[in-house]
Amino acid sequence: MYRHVGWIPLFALVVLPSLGLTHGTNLDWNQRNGVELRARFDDGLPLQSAEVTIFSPADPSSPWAEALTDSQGRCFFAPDTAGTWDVRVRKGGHGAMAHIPVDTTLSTAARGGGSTGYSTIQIVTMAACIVWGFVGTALHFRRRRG
Amino acid sequence: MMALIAILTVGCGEESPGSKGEELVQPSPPQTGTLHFVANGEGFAVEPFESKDGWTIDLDHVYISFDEVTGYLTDPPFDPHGSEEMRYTSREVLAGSCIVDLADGPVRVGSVDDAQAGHYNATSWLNVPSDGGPSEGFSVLLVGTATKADALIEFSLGVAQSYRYLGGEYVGGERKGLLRPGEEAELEMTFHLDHIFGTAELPPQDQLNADAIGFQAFADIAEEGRLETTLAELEGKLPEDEFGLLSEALRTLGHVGEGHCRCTVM
Repeated sequence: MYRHVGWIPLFALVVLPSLGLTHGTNLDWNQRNGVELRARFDDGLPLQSAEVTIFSPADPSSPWAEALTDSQGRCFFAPDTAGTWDVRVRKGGHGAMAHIPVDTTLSTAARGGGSTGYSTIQIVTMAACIVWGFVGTALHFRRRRG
Repeated sequence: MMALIAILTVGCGEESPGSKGEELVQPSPPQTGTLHFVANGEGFAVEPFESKDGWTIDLDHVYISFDEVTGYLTDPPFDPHGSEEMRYTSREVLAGSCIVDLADGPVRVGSVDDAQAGHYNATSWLNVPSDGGPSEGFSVLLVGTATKADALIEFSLGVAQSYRYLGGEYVGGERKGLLRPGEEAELEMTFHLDHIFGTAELPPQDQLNADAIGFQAFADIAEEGRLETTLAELEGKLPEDEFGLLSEALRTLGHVGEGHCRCTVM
């Protein structure tokens, strides 16, 4: 049951507060065009191949998606609605839960990211370029006729 | 517009059923359900296991004394690892105190029959010395045997200290605490005994084993194959660093599944 879940390329993101545990699991996450979750042991080592279960605020009783963390302890998903997303990470008796607030801006961007792969800013910029292309072409032919 | 006004006027003037001195009582769906509180010592409480230092621990009794067991609907979700105070919209408190023996397997501590429906995403409880029963005077009492090669030690370890645990959402194979109207849900208070003894299932350098005292320290102070002691007595008998490990392990004994709790020693 995979939905927009996968690995995210490295790019700079905002790091939100983490959950610190004694001999436990640290979870932190970043948000831009989706959510990148990173799971580590207390000593900083990545929690590799850990089970990740994602619950949407629309249905907290059934997993929205399931995945495994990569070799860096990371997992990426694109929320499709605003609200608090609950993400459970477990491996070999270690586990933690993250409650990730997703606002409407992110969910809009995430839907864009999930369907086209472009952010809102990218889409607006591309639309402006296309419009300018039409305008420029029209001005070009008008000047030639003149 | 006139037609609309006419329709609205007719609608407002219509007599609804039960308006002539009768009250139509619509049976409202229940907004409550039954919330169960369960205590679980997992496999370490039930089956023999090998400590980090090679002792086979077989626990006959794992008595835990509970009080003020409470489930919460928290918003935002409570983070036991942060410094924020818990904020909740509703809570359900289990009446009374009780003692359970986790060596019998998972035990239902009690239930609240008319609990407000919702997602119970936090649990708190007290482990306090019991007033009576098999573990009188102790909040935690471990009774069992430890064997290694030809050595056998019968031991009991009583803890008179009180602990208050604040846990967030249960972390485990299933999602717990989702109480729908008219249905049942469960919250679990989980006790990780491997935090005390460590486990041979993990390498010695694993943080869990590094933080555990193991059993050899107890074996060293046992006499004629017996050790009947309390945490207070051990403060003077164990080396300071070993006693520190034991104290910290007891502080981190309570979990919600695999989720750690915020603990206050009282």
